[in-house]
Amino acid sequence: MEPDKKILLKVRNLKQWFPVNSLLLEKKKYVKAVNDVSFDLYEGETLGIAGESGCGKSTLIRSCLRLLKPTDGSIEFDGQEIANKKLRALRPIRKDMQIIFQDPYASLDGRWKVGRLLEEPMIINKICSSKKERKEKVNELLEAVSISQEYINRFPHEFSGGQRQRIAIASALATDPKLIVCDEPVSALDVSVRAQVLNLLRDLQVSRKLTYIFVSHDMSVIEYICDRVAIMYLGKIVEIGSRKAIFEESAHPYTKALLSAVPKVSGEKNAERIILEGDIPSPVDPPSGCVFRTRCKYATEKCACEEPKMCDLGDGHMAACHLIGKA
Amino acid sequence: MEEKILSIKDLNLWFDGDYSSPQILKNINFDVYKGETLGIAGESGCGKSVTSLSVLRLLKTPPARIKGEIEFNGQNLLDLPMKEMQGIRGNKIAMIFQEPMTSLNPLFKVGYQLEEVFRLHQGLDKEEAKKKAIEMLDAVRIPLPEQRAKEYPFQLSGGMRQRVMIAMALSCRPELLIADEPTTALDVTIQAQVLDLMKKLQKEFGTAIMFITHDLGVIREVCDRVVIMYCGEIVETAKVEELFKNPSHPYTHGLLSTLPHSGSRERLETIPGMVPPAGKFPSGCVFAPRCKHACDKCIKNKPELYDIGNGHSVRCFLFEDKEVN
Amino acid sequence: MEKISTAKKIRVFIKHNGRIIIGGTLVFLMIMMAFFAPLLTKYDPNGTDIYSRFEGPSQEHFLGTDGSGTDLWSQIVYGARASLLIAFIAQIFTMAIGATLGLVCGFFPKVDKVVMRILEAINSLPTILLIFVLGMVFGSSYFNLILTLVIAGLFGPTRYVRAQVLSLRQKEFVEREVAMGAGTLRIMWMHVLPQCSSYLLVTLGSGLSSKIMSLASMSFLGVGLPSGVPNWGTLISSGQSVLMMYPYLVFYPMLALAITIFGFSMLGDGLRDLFDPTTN
Repeated sequence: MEPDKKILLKVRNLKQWFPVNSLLLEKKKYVKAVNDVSFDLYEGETLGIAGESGCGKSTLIRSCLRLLKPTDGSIEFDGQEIANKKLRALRPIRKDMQIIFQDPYASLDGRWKVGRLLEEPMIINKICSSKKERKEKVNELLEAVSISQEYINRFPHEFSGGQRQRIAIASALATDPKLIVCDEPVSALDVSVRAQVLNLLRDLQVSRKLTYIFVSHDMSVIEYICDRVAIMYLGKIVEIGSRKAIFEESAHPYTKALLSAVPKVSGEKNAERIILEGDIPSPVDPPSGCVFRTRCKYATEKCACEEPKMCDLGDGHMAACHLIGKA
Repeated sequence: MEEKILSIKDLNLWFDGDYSSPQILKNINFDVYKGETLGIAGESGCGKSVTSLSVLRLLKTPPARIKGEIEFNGQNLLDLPMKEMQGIRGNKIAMIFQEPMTSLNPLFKVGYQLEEVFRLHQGLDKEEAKKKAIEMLDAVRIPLPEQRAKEYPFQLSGGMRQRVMIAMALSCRPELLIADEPTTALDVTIQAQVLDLMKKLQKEFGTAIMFITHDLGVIREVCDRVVIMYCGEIVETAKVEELFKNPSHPYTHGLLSTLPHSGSRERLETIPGMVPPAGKFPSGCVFAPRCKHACDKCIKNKPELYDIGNGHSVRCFLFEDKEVN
Repeated sequence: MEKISTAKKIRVFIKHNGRIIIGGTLVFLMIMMAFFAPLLTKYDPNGTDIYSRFEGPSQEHFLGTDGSGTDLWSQIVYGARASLLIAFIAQIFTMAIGATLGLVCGFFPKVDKVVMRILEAINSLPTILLIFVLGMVFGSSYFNLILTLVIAGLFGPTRYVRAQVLSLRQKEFVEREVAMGAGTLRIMWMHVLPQCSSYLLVTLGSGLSSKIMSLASMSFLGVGLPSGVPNWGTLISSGQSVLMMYPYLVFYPMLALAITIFGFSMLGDGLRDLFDPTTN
């Protein structure tokens, strides 16, 4: 990354803990869904957040968008500190950051027609005051996601999954946001329409100068669409770097295992597949020291008592592992 | 020649509704050989799950209406009385599902549920069944099997539960295991564990597996042969290496090229349009409306499965000069 | 696409909506009866005729007369008016107030704690006891009667709407609405309330039948409608003293009550099946 690139979102030491119901007299426990996460998002890039279920990736983006109130830490969006802002004060900022969810069935209110769904964000944010202007904008949005304008009076359930996801994308674009967070946007779609949506997202990024945070558990999708990638495990970012750094020169043992676990449809079959032992530990009681040590075959005593710091490997490639410091 | 254990012949299936009876499966023909893994791949709505459910006769009839033959060891399962069918289910043919939580009873300990299988199907007494149950848990590589046997399903992780399901399915040493998207709900690292386990167990137990999934990567990982389905028809069938080296049906070809390939960021190819809903399957070649090679003939007539050699057949007029399979 | 004949469509509709048809017909008949009461009988429901006391069903008096010589049929027909109207008004208020409370409770946890505890306390009393006590305290005027019925029925809709709010707040389309910058009021009004509307419509049926029942019980116990207003509860209550000699005086009003409640319940169940996608 060139150093003079503008930072759009700056997250520092973000913590998002949820209290767990504990027995009387027991020490209060927390699910540490996001635990001390820091990263920068540059304008115009796509940052991928990858990890397995329960790693905290969905929670992380919800905190960044302030759909949750962070326990601790700072979030700076476009130069404004938003971590502690009141909900009412956040409203004017929200139009610059939109979200697309995994399930286009659940993320569109099924009682509303497409035209109305697309007008809604404009009404809320008082963009395009006259009805005529709004209609024009709706048509323009539908064209941008290649959905015919004839469909404006249809209900979401009359569309296929892929079309519905396009409508969700159009509605996210309605306020001309700077940042769009995509939470597993193609995971619920049929394989043959996934590519259509991925291509659309890429085209829109160029034509509308968007910045994306792209959350997915699918490493091949991440590799296709992202410029930089962060790998999360148990509420922490264990490795972050450019796409090339992560996919070709990955340093953290977890990243390596994750990449080798992905079944490939082309190229060589993974000859030596790293199979991790055991399951992801509970985020209520994460292991001491390095969170990955319980499944890591290189784990030493040091890993159990000391938490590894993020180690700079150059060019913004960073990983949190004791092994790297040594080498 | 290897021994066929399951042979599906001209399987047709309709769902009778109020206004129409859409045909869900059309002339499905395939065999499963002893000890092999046959993959059935396709997108949602292509009929892959319905095929597996009809093998075990788990579909409600009506509304489902089945025609054809499902021969298991020379016996047509569709003619069997329900009572005998129940003897085959679980014993000779076992099944595992995508979501193990719904197939385990949440009120009983996993050990007990496993014991029950031994007591019901093999008539073992309590002590013996318990010993066998723990052996099985050990066989599916569950650490500390004695302790795990005393836990309830909700105390186990998704991967563990799927292992328990596999243990239950294999406990009667079935000849055929039907796995319906067994790893779709799991994380990749856990999926890798479970797939690895299934491959090892298959060698140990000699079970044939019918592996149903939408994930072509998984198919390549575990299967010997593969059947590609689209809109209730088989469009292509081949050995796995052959299929990935030489995908011949435009649909298979399209599917493979729409997937992002590692190391490449070139714009993805797309298949235009979408999968038609049940009841609106095209009457000619089912893929014709989305196919870039389609001509008049494809829209009007239905192609046969043409044999292009090496056990590879394709339902596409591009291979019309080849022999009909 | 093959053409579907109208006859087939009707057959399928009857197959799936039998309960709506039966319930709807009964309810419709009852409403018509209440509405056109003066056309269905020539007798005054409060008029007395000492020369024709305790007469059995005859040409003159379709269902016979009671101890004051009042025509039973006319009392039942006019009785439908008071029963249906009050039950309807009370049900509308119950749903409106219940839905509002539910919305507020769902969005504001602090209010939730107080309101739900009070409603739970009220709900823990047996309904019949509750309405009896409330009826005694408030006295019998139309307003107080409706107030009693509303308080007694508030728990159900409040709890349902509150539960809906809590589950809808987790839904992605609501989350997206927040992300768009919408305020709480807008989300309540535009998204949550419409989602509850089918439930509210469905409970109109079952709620009405329970309100009619409660009203009859209250009148039976003497804390219901002011005297002189014909209604089924009072009819049953006054007939009950001569039950052994003139059973028809209790039987016909009970029949009218039963048919109405059955009709509303059937309609409610049918509508629930129609609107609830999980049962299809």
